[in-house]
Amino acid sequence: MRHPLKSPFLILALALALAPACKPKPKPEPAVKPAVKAEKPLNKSVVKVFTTVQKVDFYEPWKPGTQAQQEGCGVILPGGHILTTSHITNKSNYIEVQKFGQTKRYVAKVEQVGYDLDLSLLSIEDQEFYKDTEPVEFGDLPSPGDKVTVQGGDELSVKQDTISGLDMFWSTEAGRFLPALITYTDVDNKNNGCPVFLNGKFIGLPFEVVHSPEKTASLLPVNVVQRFLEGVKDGKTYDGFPDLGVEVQTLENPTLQSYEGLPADKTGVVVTKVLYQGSAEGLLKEGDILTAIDGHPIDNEGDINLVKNQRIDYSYLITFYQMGQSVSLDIFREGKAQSLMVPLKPLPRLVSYRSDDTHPTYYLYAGFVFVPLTTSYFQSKAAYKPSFKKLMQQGLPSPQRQEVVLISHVLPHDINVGYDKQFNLIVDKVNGMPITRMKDLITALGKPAGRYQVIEIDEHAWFGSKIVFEAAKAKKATAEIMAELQIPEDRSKDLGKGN
Amino acid sequence: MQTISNRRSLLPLLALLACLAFPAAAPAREDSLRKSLVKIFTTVQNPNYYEPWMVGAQENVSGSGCVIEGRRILTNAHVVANQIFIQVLKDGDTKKYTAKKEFVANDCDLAVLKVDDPAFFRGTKPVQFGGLPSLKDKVEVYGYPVGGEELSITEGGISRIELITYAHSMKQLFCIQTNAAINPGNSGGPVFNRKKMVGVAFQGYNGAVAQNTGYIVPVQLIKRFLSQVKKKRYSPVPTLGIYTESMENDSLRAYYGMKKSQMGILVSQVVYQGSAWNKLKENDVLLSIDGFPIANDGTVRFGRGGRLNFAYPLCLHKIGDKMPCKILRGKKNMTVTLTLKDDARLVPFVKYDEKPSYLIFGGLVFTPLNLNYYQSAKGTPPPSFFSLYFDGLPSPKRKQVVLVSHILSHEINKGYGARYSNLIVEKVNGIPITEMKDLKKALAQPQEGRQVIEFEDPGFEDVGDKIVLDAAKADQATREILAKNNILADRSEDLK
Repeated sequence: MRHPLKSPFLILALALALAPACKPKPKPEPAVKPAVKAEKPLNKSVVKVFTTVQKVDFYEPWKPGTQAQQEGCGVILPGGHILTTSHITNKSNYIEVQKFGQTKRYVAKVEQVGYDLDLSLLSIEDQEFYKDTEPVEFGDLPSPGDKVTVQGGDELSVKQDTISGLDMFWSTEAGRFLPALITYTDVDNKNNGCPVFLNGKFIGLPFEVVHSPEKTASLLPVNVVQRFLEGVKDGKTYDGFPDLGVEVQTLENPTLQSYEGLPADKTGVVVTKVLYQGSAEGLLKEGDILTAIDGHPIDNEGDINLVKNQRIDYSYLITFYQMGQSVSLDIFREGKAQSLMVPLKPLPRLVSYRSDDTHPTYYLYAGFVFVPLTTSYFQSKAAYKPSFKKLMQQGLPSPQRQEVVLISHVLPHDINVGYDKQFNLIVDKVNGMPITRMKDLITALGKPAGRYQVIEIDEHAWFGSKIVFEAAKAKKATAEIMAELQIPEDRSKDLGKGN
Repeated sequence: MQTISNRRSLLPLLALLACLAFPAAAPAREDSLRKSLVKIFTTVQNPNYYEPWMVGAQENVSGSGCVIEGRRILTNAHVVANQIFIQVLKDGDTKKYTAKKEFVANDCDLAVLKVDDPAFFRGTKPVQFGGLPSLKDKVEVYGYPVGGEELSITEGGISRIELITYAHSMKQLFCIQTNAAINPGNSGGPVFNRKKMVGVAFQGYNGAVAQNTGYIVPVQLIKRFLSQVKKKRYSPVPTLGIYTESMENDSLRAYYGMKKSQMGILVSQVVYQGSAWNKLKENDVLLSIDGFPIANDGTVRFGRGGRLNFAYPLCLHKIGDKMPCKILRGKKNMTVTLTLKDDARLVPFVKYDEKPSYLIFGGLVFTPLNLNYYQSAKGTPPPSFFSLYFDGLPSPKRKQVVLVSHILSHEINKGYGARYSNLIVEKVNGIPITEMKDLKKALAQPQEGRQVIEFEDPGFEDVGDKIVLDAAKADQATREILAKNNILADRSEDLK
């Protein structure tokens, strides 16, 4: 019997918010703002950016998608590149830049993208553009209470803000925690990429605006921007910022601290999980206590004392490393202090975050549309499924599953009668072979078990467990479906060439 | 969207009424059916599953009902769910009498009330039951829906007979659909066909979703309920405890060795301790149930030309009945007899008239996950809960999902604080926690003077975190926490 509880009614009624809770620690603003002399706008450095983006359809990934216009602003850097946020240039096919008070727009192109920092670097060929412009100067990291100015909006106008602190903050665009200067602000989503200045020097770029409980904006601090620029120096392609690849628990409770074997005069956090394919795999173990990173002692809350007497989570430091560099850790293992170097790798993910999804991966076979679960797919018109949400927020890769391979939906044809109403099924095995990622599919479908192709669905599928169809007819059926629906390719480019 | 009729719903139309002038009512023709009609007023005390030592908000709801043989009143279970006080008013009367809930069948949304004062039944006439109506038969719905205070009678026909999800229990049961208007307040009211009662109005759709789509508990389920009430023991409609897949694809049928003429559905999962546990297996093809042959699309024949979901025969049975099933296992025909049981769920649907289960230890609030908890939890519960609710199945290793729902602050749990909420307990002092009952034994065996609570891997954040408490101080701390928070008991009755 089909489960009675799975009615669409409940699915709608209990729909949840997507982003995991983030933990800003905004410091209260003084009730009366002290009068500060307004700063001069930096009209020669701040520009408007207009983009035309191709919204790729992750549900029907063979379709080119529809166009949309976006706008924001950017800032001219020493060397001539223009810095803006990647979420306005993501998937763009045409970009224009306009100087303050001018009507002419200059064509720009994306030079480098740092999706995980929500940064994008543009270049302009037409040298005329640079006439009468001034690149910004990089400032120092501001302190809480510093009065800063934001320049942006339709008219590139100037607004005042106060820095309230530095923290690790969740970025919806990047899908991970980023170092952030927090401000209470009037900046809204329209001000994508509008730069923030202190005493005329560039100190950050907003990446996230949170509207509740109070409106705060998170700025990507200038030192992280500089680290990004360092990473793309001499035309190197940006390869992301690394992650230690561990989960830790803080040791604030004295009983927990003694249980984990940390002497009372020491501080640190305990490693509770070492991520598969992460930096620390094979180097750290569950139960290790991290006591210092790069020589900075880690306290029982996981913070280090680094920036102008502000405490910040130890993972802040990792943001400044390039991929492949090593970080030095002091640990406490089985009662003994040790030091080790950990070469840094990317954060392992089971479900790719939307910023990475530039080109959807798909494979079409006998009308079954196979796709990997990605955030963009989830946000397309694909039906809501609670287990997907769990995988997206909480899924970690393992040797058994490096991608979640789905049958997104079924294009109806004689061969798939009886399955054609199904959608969002997680594929477990094909012809007895475990499917750990999309590439496995193609191999497995090439080896049918006798007369039939047998697809096994994850045991918690609402619909059942098996899809069986005739192997001999599949190729012809695929061709017929593609012809009927005008689908040019049976697979995305990253999966290689079809037959 | 399906909504339960009745329920806190008298407000929206009142403004409209104020601007209409009513003509003097013409004297109504004598209608003997009205003598069975009762309006029901219920005061509801909602439970608080998040802070289970406290009660939730009170509210007043109203519904309809009818007098049945034996000086009883029949209504919907949801009209009197979580009640603390019920009053009933005869049609045309002015005095409200106090009533008591006598029997309830939450699964098919029916309840029987009794009234101690014999004066109440003076002048009433019990309804007479008819048989199952056919499509297009005319029906009249009696009740007290929104829009006014007096009796409302709406007319329509039977538009569909099918298995429908009952919103009060989320069980899929036999049901009649009508195009007669059924609105909030109609719940529990009788539906007549040629002066005979053929069902009880119980749910409808939000008008934005569908109109003229009202649902009626059919007379069969009412008779089934009342015959069990006579024996003073109600048995819910059993479930098979299997997940199935339709077999409409020729290749799928051939793969499982079915002949061209054979029809059936594929068993894809068998629920632990459900009716089919140890009887049916994954990859069995279910050919017939209780003598009803099952078609490839999972339906059985019903009446002349109609088809119903194959769960229909279950509606005619009770827990403990034997049910023969014909199956194809490994291409061989077999007959298996199931002993029918109730739904086996890991995360139960909303419960009514029950006290939440909880245990407080060192400030940690342990409680089982159920839909009541999900609905009353503060903030957004993690997506894994939702997943468990839909897809979670019980197993010997996990009969309940035991949570630390939140932590009541005290020095003993310093450092854990508000960060830890909605965590699924895996082990306490190394002992696996399969249900709430396991906690007591496990907490009595601290490890080297510490209480060690381990949680299920939530995947992303707080992975592998443990809560470790000083065992020597825990009992004293619990007493202090109870006193500070005005909590009478450290655990619910069921765990004492």
